Amino acid sequence: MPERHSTVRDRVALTRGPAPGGALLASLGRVDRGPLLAVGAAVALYTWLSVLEPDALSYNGLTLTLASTMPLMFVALSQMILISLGDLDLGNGYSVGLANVVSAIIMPQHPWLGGAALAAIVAAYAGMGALVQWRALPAIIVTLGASFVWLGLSLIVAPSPGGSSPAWLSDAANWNPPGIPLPLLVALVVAIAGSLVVVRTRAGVMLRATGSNPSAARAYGVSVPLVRVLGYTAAGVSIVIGGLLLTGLTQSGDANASGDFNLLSIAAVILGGAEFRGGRTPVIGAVCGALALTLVSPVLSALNVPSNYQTGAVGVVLVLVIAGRRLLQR
Amino acid sequence: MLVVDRVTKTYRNTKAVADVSLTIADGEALGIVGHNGAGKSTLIKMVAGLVTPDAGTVALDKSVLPPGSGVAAAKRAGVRLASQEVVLCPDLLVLENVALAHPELFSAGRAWRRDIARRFEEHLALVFPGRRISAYRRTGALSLTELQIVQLTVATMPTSVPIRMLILDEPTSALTQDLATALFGYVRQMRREAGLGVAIISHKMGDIVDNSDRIIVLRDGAQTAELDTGDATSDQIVAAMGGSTGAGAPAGDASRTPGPARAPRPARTEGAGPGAAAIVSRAADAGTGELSFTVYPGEIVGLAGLEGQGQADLLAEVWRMSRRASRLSRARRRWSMPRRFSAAYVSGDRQQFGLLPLWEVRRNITVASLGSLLSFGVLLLGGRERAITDDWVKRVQIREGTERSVLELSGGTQQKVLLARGMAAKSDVLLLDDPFRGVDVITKEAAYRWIRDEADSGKAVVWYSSETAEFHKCDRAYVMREGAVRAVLAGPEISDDSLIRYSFDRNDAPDPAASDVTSARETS
Repeated sequence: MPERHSTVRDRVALTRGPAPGGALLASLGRVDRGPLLAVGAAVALYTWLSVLEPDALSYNGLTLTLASTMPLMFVALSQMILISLGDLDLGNGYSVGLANVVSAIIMPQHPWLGGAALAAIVAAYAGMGALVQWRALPAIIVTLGASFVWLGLSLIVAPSPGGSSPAWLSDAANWNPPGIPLPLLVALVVAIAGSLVVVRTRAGVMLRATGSNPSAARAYGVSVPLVRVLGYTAAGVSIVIGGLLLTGLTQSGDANASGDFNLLSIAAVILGGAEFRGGRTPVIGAVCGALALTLVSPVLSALNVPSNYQTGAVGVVLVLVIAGRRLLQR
Repeated sequence: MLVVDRVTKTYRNTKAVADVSLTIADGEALGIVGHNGAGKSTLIKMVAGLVTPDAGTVALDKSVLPPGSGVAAAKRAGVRLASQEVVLCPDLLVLENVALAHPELFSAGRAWRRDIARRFEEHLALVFPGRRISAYRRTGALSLTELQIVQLTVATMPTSVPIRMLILDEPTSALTQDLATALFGYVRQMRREAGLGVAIISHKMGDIVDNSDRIIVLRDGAQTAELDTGDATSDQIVAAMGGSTGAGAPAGDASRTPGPARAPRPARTEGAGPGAAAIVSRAADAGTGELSFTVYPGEIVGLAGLEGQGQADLLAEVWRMSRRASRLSRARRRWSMPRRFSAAYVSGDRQQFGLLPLWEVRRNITVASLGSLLSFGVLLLGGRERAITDDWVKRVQIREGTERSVLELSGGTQQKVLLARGMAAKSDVLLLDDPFRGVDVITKEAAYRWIRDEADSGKAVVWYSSETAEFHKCDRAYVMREGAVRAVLAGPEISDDSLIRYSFDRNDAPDPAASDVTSARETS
């Protein structure tokens, strides 16, 4: 495929150019062309929406439309880490729900207890990583089992929806930064910071190596168990951040409200260019995938598609996109 | 100076390496040769820290590497391995693979990527002048040749940890002649200038003879000879590698099981199959000097050669030719077959490609012949299935009977189940993919008889084996090297000596009439 080779060379040529900004962009994009699809989908859906609803272009319109992206982005990031290891988290819809109720019900009254409970979620993720690694259990089973535990714990903490958001959390989730809507700012920061970690740090390279070819990673002297446990820990941290943002945005805790996040996070990551077999960490793609999936519903609403059809439509769009990517790769 | 002192490694029941000692002085190059299963790979993996020896020590410059200290410790001591298998992460960029292989090049700053890329590309240009591979390419997008170039470049790259000992395991298997020349030129220079010690394993005799000072020969895990490269002849090396079963005796006859119909069987030779028409054949390729491959009914054909030289692919191609869809594919051009044929396949990797672990013996046997159990489109799994399996269980002597779960059987008995499945399927061709690896001798001897019976009943058997001895059970043997058929041996020509001789490339052009072994010998 001569065309592919020339693209790679072009990118290399770009990094040797004088412009430092160009070098940064190129080094971020150099990892993979996979994210292009998610970026394109997000831009296309946003353009379509702004044609249908010119109000969506405004600062307030963007803030409102994209608000729910923020928790989804962090859940998707967490999912991306597990998928890059060749694993899959089938329980993150309810683990983010647990973080949500803990921060809405326990935290306002007992900040320290709430903080400890959130830390326990992170520890539980590390434990799942250890279980998957040392007992050689399929991650799907472990995380699926854990999802019932998350839901059960959430229902114990909050039998019915309620609670409130700590003031600092509401302030943070509803902050209006000058010039750029908060969801876009968060997306930008997460995409750049996440990409730098994954591309530039040794830990990021080890994470991708482990997912790509565990036996080669082992031969390089990488500790695969350590990478998996640390990866799961980072995924747990990301889940907790997602749950906190959810509380800040909704001002309440609801054990059942976030179940959709599970499939949406998988969709965002795969749309973003990851592979189920592991080895790929498209941070930019996952972030844009989350943005794109959040935009599908507003676009369909603007087209007067009844809301009951929208969930199904998201699924159809996703299957078409992934089928299209398979065709492009051939 | 590398000193390996009486290292031993046992896997389950087989001694992979038994009491092997060797030394490699600074600047010296040692060739290590041996046939399949001789222990070459295990030996060098112990030196590189990938495998922990059961006994014995490896010492570099008089400091002993603590056993079990792993790859990193061996690397810190200065041992570098360019492995036979590809050990790179496909999703990573080339430069990221370099960073993982040489953590000492990794600096926390933001410039490490550019720095490693520059070092890699510079070193690549030094070892393989005129050849360029960008360090920013995704490793999975590289060709096999490029992957090998990357592995060799990474293994020879200078870092802050000095290289004392370089191990090259089949370093030229995917390299063109000029790339191989460039590699060995660089290695020779490093031996002279930096006192680098080198160990070379290669199936190309030329690589060994031209680039080593000494050669050690391994057989069945033990060292059988040590020769000075200067006065060793290829015949001496080949003789040391094989032929424990009486050098002069025509081994092909000696170990063949007695059978009434077979004694007068004429050895069929290439292109002339008197009596029977070929079932399927692949034409010779004049461009690469590849010989043709033909399967006749009623004979056992062996696919010989070192492991991984294309035998599995050839079996897979025959299998695909027996399927309707692929007869329309591109592979068709070199293949020809007078009519449709059916094939059954028996793998030696029973965990991955054979057993249906949740099913009992009976269903495991009949799963490949369900077509013959169809009546008016309905599967009849009652009496007829039972009759067939009872018969086969008796023939292959599965004492446990038909109703036991296959998981309760021993490995050898499981292999019998798979063999029975392959034989029970009413096929024209029986494909055997090293089916008796790790199977006990008694089962093997019985299985050889059943295979002969299958051939006598008119089936063709195509048999890949990693054990040279099993080719004595064959009527003809195709010796493969680098994905191509390089020699054809028939009947008494099949000997350990000839099988090993043709497994190793000594740059002897294969004789087109390779069935005539004597003439091939003269040309070498």
